Amino acid sequence: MSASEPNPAETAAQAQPVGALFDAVYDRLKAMASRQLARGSRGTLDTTALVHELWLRVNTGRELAFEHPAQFFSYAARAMRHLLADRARDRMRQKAGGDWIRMSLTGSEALHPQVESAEQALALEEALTKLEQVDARAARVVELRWFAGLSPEQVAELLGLTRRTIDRDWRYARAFLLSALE
Amino acid sequence: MNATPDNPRDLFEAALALAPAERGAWLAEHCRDDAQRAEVLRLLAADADTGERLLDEPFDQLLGRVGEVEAPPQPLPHGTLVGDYTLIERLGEGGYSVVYRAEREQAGVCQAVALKLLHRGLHTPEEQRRFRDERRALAQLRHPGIARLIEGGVTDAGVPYIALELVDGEPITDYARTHRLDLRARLRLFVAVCRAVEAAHRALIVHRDLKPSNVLVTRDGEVKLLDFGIAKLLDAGDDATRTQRQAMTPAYAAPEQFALGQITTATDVYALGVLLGELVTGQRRAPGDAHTPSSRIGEDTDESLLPAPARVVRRQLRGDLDNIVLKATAAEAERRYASAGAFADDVERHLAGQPVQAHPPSRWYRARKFVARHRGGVASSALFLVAILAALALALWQAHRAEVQAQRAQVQARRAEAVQAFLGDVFRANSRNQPDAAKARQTTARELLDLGAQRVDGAMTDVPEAKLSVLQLFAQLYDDLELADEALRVRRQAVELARGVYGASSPQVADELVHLASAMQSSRATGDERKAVLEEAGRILDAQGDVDSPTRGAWLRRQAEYYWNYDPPRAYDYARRAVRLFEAKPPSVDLADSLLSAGIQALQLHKLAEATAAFAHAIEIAKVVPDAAPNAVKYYAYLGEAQSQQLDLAGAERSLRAAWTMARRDSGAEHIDVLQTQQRLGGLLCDMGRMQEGLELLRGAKQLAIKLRGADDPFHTRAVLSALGRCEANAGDLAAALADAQAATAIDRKNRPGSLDLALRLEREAAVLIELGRDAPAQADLDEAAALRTQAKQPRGSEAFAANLRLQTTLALARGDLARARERLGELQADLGDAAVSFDRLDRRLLAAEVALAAGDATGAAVEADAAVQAIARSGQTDALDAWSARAALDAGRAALLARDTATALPSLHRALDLRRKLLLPASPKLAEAMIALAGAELDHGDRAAARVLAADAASIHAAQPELGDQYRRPLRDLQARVRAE
Repeated sequence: MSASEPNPAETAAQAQPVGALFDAVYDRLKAMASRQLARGSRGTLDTTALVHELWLRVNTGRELAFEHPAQFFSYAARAMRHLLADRARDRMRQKAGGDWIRMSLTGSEALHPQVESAEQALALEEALTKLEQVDARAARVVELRWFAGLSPEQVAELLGLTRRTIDRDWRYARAFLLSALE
Repeated sequence: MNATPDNPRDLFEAALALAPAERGAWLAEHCRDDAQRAEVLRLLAADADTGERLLDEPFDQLLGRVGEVEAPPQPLPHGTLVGDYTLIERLGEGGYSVVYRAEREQAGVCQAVALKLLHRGLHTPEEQRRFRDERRALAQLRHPGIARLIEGGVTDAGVPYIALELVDGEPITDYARTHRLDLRARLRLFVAVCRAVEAAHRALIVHRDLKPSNVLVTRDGEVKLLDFGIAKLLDAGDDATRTQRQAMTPAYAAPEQFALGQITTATDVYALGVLLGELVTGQRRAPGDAHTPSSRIGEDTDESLLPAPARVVRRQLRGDLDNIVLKATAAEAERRYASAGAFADDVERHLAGQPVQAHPPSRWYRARKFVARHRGGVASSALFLVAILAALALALWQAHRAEVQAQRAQVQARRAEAVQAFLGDVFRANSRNQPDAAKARQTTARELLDLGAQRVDGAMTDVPEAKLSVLQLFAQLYDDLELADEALRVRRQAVELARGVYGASSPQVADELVHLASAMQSSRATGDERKAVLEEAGRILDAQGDVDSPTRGAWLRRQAEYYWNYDPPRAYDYARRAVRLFEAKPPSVDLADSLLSAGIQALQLHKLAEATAAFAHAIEIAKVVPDAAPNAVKYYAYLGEAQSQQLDLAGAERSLRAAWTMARRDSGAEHIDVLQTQQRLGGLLCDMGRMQEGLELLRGAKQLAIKLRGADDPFHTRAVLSALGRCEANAGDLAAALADAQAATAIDRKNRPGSLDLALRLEREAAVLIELGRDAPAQADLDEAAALRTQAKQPRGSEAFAANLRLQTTLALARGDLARARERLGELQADLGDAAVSFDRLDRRLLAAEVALAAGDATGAAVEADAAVQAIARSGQTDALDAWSARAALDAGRAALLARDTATALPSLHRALDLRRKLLLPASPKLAEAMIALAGAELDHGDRAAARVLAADAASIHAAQPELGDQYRRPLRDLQARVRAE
């Protein structure tokens, strides 16, 4: 059954990203992203590379310590999710006060693309939070696949699930999130 | 799924299993709840939406669009003036800087530049200094392939800016794609990139952030590298660790950049390797992907990115190009190409269809590493066998590549067999000698190597080239294990064999001879033999017309090392020629080591500024050339030596401590580098008057030297004995000082007769003998040393000879021969008034004071002693010169006594005694000397009780010295007579 399949990595993967270790991952990735953006060619980012780069460092024992790769990647994915939400909130705060969103509905032609994207990001965050309540594992798959950029095979391996389950989770999550974003 | 689903997800998935047209009806039947049915329908609709929706594009893109709300500095308006430049338009922005197109008018010509304004200000003087230093280095970098730094400065607001040559081009990877370059054209373009990088490396400038967007190709097809050294320049204000952390792009960054390790030229070689991989496969490598480029090209690769159809490219890359990229991107810096130039050479060899240097991951390297790790330790013979076999396989492979044509398959098979037979023999012999299998397994690497070296003699006679490879390998392994005599023995065999194989006047023989001479340097071989070996090598090189090969360079260095003991000016000349030869090549460990040799010769010739510059340059090289990094210990150690001779004692202590710490960190507690640095640091501390600390370090060094090298080691043991003897003499342990000094002399007399080393030993021995009152042997030692110096072109008037003359003066004073003392002192050059303070000058001044005292010339003595006191005060390192202050105070006090000026004498002599109590061992005769002088002053002052106590203390010190010169005994006798008389 899709919703009750046994999951050996559940504990590690679902552990709430709290405490210093999560903060450390978040700070590192945030710094790495800024740096990459700063020097990157025309503002493009490669967050997958960032996550793997950090994992490389973690894995060679140079930074931080994780008991299980699943823990690291779920932290990293969550960190990326926070990063997006934080940036989006910053963007909204920067551009206007509380009225801005309403105003934007009327004049979307004139919208600054950055702000439009920030709105999208915040809506996505909201939807993802809803999904977590309905189907936590599917939300986890979204984090690992989309935010951390892992391949379906990697996600399957990390969560100890079959590739087929991951594909189903992803398909459902995608439909859920897109319909919520309508 | 037998039960009817009752939640949206299950309903959604069940509906998906049906044809789209049937879903509505199925849902209407199975889901009675209207709200839930509507939700599932929305899910199905969203699922069917295959347009580019949010989740279908990578996360990065949304993140990138949202952007970072770091309020960027307000763009400066058109026309703003920065320095001489007028801003025209904003070209782009990075994390550290905004780039504008800017112009300036100069002599009626309008020059357009790319002007980078840094986001962060440089506020502290230290930040600004580093920015200026970096900028100066960059401004000197001129190469057609590198965008030039035109100017740099800091605005009034403290914002640093740099003006760079404006380049109109596109990234090399884009260029290759848009111009549809084939593989050869891409490789040729890449070679041009390497050449430009090499030019920067020669200036010791590392890029640190090479990537396609920094490697442009202009419309004319010329390569232009951007931002060379800018990463470091922009970070000029940051501390060292952050600097390294910031300046990189993950996809092109070498492992040492992630690990915050040392950034070297090899870091750029790594990035070039990644770039080459990207250029030939059309796709960027995932960070850390260690696969071959050819394996990255799959069926699904977009062929429009490739230089040719996928199938063709895979075939073209497999083999050499794969190996070249893997070598350049090796995780360990020292396994990559030694320079960007060597990288380019290999690519050119490939283009020319010649064999390339890159080969599958080097087992040779692993074998060497293995041996280095297990030096002295126990290594299982099986592992060692694997290491050696692997190394040999590689040696054979290389030999095979060298001779391309001749019936190679057959020859190689024969060689491999012979080598295997030989090694099998070695290991069987080990098992025979050691029937207990467990113990045979415990055989150390060294024992096994010894066994191999013993048995190699009669082995492999029909495959001499292979045997030569084996001998070279053994010699290297012995070097790695630091077994100098064994290495020497094997080197001799290698020379003989090379003569037989390649002919007596072949370059191979010259190379082996130079290696042999090098092995002789740290072994027991005699100087004459070394000279003969070097002469033979020189003749071969001359006959070959070889003036600039690495072998010639190595020969020049060996010559310098040889002559350093017999003819320093000539040695200096050779060393500088070696420096020039290697300076014409990319920065290398050879250049750094040649600078080291030159610096050492400069020290010997008292060219202290030149010496300091040479060592500092070597340290700079060690910072960017990975092979040279391990030698930084030596460079720092000698820098410390030069600094101490210039009396920059604090600087010297810093350098020597850096060297000592580095040695212990890199090599463990028991290593020759630890020994050498500890010895120097100990010696320095003694010179600085911190005798207890110094003695402790030197005694430890002596134990270590004997343990590592034996009691009669010709190089290290005698050096540490000599330094310890000197320190003991100064601290007042004369018996130990004499034993150590004599042991050192004996070693040099046996191993380096006629050398300047021996002269120095003799002089140091004489200094102890003088203290002990053994005047005749002291005189004999000094005369012998003087003869050696004259013979080695250090005439009596030279600075190097001065120490001998000062000791002659001291000896004459001790014997009470005033006329002779005056005569010797007169031979020493008088001080120039404003000359910098040095130990030598202080010694000369105080000797002059002591000669005046002996002559009863109170005024003369007071003048000289006072000049010494002033010089010490001027030096700004009073603390480090306490021993000298004590002697100056003693001389000044005695001069005052002589002038019957008790009021001046007393404080001076108190100070002398206090300092000596602090510095010297309790039984030091110099301590007694100060007590005796003070007692005399107390008597003059009328304090007989104080005088009596001092006299008694002095007497008990003398009693503890079984042997002591009359220059110490006589004043005590006089004092005691006076005390009794009063």
